[in-house]
Amino acid sequence: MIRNAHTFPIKWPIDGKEIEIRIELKYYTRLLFYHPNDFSNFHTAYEVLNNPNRIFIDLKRRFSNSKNKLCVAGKTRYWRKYVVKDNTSISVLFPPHLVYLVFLDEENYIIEHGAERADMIDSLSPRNCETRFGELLWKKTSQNN
Amino acid sequence: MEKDFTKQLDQDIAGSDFGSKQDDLQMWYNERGDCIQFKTMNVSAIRERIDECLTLYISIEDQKPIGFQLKDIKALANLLDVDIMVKADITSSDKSLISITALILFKAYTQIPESTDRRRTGYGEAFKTMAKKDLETSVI
Repeated sequence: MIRNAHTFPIKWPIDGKEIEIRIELKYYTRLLFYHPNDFSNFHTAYEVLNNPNRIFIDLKRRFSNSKNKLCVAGKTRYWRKYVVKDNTSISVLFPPHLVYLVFLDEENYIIEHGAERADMIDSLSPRNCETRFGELLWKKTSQNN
Repeated sequence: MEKDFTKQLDQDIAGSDFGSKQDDLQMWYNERGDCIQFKTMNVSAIRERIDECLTLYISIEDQKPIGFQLKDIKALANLLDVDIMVKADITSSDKSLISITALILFKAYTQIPESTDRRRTGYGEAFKTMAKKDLETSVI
């Protein structure tokens, strides 16, 4: 049992096996206290991880080795918006020109999540995939849907 | 494993801790991601990648930058003067991170040779979001 993290299972689309996704408690609580909009969108990250469209491997960085880190991309129907005056979050339509990305490290910890503009040609991928990622590891198709 | 993670999220959203410190702007060193993250507002935002090191957070509502993510901190910090590093712990989230971040931002900009208008303006926008933070900003 991992003590310093929240965890939840997902079915990994590449091999169909159940894997454990982790969120470090300090990351979780940091967003909870300081960044309620990002915290609310753990909902969106959860949904994307359970229903991804693209999975990329190897995050290219100039100065360090980020091989085996993953970027999971998805498009949800809704995402969360923080409402300041009520101090709560509501579901709003996810902008169609965006994709939602969840970045995982080698131990399946979520290290970052957020929305980016979609690629002009492949609207289910983020922009500049070729320069940012090592390769496309998995792609949703009608066969593996 | 937590079978109902979303229930936990909803409980925490309804709880008293949710957003309770959002007015306390802080930089944060994300050790697992080896990146510094800084956001000045809790609004829906788009990540805009400027280069391999810098990503800006852009507000969807008014298209203005509200913060940034700076990556490869360990490598960039190693390129800086060793004397600087011993004065600040880059794994902390306290206010001393401001000075280190400014230096690392500058180092990242100078270390990557590509020169484009968006790189120049992107790094400028990142520095400007830091200026919103009402803290000591003296460079070590």
